[in-house]
Amino acid sequence: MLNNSFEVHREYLLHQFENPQWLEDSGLAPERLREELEGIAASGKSRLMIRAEAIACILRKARLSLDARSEFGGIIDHQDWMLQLRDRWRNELDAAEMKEIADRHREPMAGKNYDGNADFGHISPDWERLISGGFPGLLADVRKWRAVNEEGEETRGFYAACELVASAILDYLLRVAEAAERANMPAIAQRFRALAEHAPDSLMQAYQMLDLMYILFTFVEGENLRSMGRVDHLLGGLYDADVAAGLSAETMAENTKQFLARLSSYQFCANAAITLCGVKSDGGDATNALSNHIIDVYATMNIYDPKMQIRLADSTPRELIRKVINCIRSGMNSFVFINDSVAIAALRRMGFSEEEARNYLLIGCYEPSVCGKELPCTCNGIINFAKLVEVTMNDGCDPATGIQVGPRTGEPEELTSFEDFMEAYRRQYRAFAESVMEIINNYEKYYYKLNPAPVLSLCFEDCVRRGCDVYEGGAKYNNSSINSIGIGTAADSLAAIRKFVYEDKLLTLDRFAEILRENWQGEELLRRRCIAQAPKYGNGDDTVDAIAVELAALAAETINGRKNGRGGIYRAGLFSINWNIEFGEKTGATPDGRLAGEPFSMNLGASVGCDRQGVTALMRSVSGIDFSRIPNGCVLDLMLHPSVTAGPEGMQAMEGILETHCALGCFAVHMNIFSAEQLKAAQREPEKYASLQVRVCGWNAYFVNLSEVEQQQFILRAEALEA
Amino acid sequence: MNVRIMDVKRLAIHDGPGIRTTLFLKGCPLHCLWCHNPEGISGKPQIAAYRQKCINCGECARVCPAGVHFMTVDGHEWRDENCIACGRCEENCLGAALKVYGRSIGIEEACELLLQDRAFYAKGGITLSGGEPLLQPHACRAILENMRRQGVHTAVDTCGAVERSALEEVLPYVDLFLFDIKHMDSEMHRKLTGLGNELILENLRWLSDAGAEIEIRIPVIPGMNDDAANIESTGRFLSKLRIRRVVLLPYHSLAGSKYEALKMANLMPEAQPPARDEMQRLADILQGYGLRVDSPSLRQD
Repeated sequence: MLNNSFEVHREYLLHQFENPQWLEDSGLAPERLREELEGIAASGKSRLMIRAEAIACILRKARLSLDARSEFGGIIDHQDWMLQLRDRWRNELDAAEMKEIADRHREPMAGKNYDGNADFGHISPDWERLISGGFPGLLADVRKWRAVNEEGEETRGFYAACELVASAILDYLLRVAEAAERANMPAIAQRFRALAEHAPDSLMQAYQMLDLMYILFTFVEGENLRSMGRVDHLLGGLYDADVAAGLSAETMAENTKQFLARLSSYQFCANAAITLCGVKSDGGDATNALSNHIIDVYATMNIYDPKMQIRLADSTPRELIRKVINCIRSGMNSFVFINDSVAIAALRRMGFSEEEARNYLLIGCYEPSVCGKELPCTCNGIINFAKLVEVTMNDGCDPATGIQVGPRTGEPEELTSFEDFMEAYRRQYRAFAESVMEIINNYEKYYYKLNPAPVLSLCFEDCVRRGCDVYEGGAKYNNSSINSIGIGTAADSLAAIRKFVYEDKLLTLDRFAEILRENWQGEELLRRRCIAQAPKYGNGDDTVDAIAVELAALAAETINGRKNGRGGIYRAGLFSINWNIEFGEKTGATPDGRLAGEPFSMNLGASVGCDRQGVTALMRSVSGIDFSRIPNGCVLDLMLHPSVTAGPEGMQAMEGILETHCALGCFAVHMNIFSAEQLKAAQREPEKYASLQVRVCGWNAYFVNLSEVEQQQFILRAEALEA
Repeated sequence: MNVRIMDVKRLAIHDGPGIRTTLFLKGCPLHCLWCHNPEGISGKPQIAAYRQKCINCGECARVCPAGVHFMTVDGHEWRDENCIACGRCEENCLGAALKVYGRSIGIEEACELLLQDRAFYAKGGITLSGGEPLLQPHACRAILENMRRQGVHTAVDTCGAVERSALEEVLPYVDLFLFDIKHMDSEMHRKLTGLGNELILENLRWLSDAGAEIEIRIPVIPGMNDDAANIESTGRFLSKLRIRRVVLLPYHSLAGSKYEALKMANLMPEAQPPARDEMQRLADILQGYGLRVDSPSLRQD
């Protein structure tokens, strides 16, 4: 391999999945492949078998691509076919079994009151089993349990499907090896042969295996792999072996750069994350030489994917934390810090054992999940805290559409005290939650029709042992999740109602509801009053922070532990991703002074621009929430001014912020370091700021590529800091 | 007992070690030409009104108990002679255009304010600054004593032009003094700050002899105190004392809008912040006297 291959071929490597050049005679032409696949789809066999045969067909017959600039092989001409197949099945289902429920909830969902959906986008397999047994181990395991376990027709069907796929994977590996040989790429050929024969026994083989899992899940089978696992913990031994074998530091750095570039090149918006550090199942610290190596290499690459998730335990070495802080300070801030002890506590409360909980990884952005045992589905449902205020003020009706989206909980005149209003709000929330769970539970009944998943099932020991598909409850834990969004705006709005309607008696609730329905028309002074004179969450003011704490508790007690449709339970989350913009568009004017259609508060943050007492107050406000009861995760977005992060004092400040974040029992935090001036300059002259990265949510993006609405949110937050 | 304050700054990282909360006390014996906190000079309540944010709603006039604010045909006007710094105008302003300086609060309330961010003080603490905090020595002592009892690290930022007795009173409760030196020549000092420097330098000597922990701050104002002679003289003087380190603070003139909002004449010198190599030269001079020197503009990150 060329020295410096990453720097030399950077542009290609970061886009290596775009427009792959297919090797001649490496597989069927697309039309022929699709013909065969359509034939399989129409075969009348079980859906599991259809998917298994289709996967096997793709793996054995689709064209392959290799490029000498990349150390990785495996790109295959999957045609997005499996995803398209699932879409077809989904449309059929929506028009048939799901129609009645879909019809009933169509308008409330269109109005962004709540949302419920199937979730095939948040998986991670049993990485430890994969690495220790390799691809051959998957086939061996299936055969072993098949011999012991073939009971009914379904189990037999399951094993037939899985064994077919497991062999097809080995065939695919050998095909790639042969193609690599023909293309004069011996290193890749050797790795693929090795992976076809035994478990990975070198770091590069292991990296290749991780990459192949991404391809198999996300591109071939069609569900999104959202965590590459605890890569340092998983591959630390192989890394040490490379070092002991005398591989040069340059070669090892180059290998890891190729790996990280490969992950980055998937170009899937929220990408696959790498979880680092934390504690081992026995409680000992998990940070190792590979943890440091990955961060050291990442720090030189100036890319914003993959995402790095740092599990921060009391025992996590200072030196590593400082390295990550330095990365963030130099603009590479695709990191999130997770408070290890809180994540573990939250998982324990959901019923996982101490050992299981300690071995968690983070799915997607910051959703804790037990590796190898749990299918967590972390984004099934959304509940709009902010809109619930509007709905409660309108006796369960969405004023935008006039549709009754919740129960009748009282006309405004009937809610004669703030406690009455809160009780009505809670009833509306619970009703929304029931609606969401109804939708999700019903989709889950039909997962066997939508997404039987032989590849993923192969990767869960419990599925193979029981002979049951992972989406049918084959894993040990088969959970689902609902996220409640807009907590800041909701808390501010409830505080405004309490003050102006019930305490100061400035106006009646009825009049207030009317004003909001008219988007503050002719009431600008009142709107300013609601902004300036009512307390705001995020400023260390307990009178309103306590409301946010109550809302979080409401989510936890309503959602956690409720039964889903796959033999598992629901997990409550509080992250909003950027749904606060999308859902905000359909949320009317709110009592906190917000105009109709504007974005509402994001994640755990204050309503935009309303945190005017700085970072310490914001953190204190957030820390009132009991995060051990929010197992599906959430995050605090911190905007820091450059003056507070520069120099040795700045390093100490950031370390102190992280330490205190953990000491306060908060869950997850990530940072943007900008002055408003900088961001405005980037808006004016995007060419000059082309590589300015911002942390959007659980992922990063180039600021200049964000929409104007999104850019404005960042600028408003930076300005609030300087107030 | 009360203390008259003008501001609270949180996540302060340049007012002593670690993450701190700084409480700014109102009133100062000096009036430096380059002052960035002109609201700190007078010990009396003052209002800053940011005209461009005013929406002429009249709330301030409605809630003010002292007749400070009134609305005219030309918009909002105010006279703060009778201001009691109750803060109601700032709380109720619909444009977030007002800032009240000089609220008088009890010691307990001051301590509560300071302890709010206690969770962040593992390596930090609290700082009293201003204006000149030691113009209210009894209040300072009461606060610092309380902080000490609670195990919180204490720092005091002082210009040194104060009664010896004030220093004596707080000394037992101060972990670190941040002590400013503006100019070694007394005549020049008077021109720049309104007072000569004899008392300041005597107090500094005394503090050093008393075994206090001292960090010297030198605001570097181009054309006023940054000549080699002055810095040499400063180095000579400090080398005979027990000083932890010297921090060179580069001048900036970003406080202009605050002067305007306070209706105070802006006497800040027109000057660019000193260049990096200039700061390095000054640092070298001081280091030549065996002093440890630091500056935000000389950092390698």
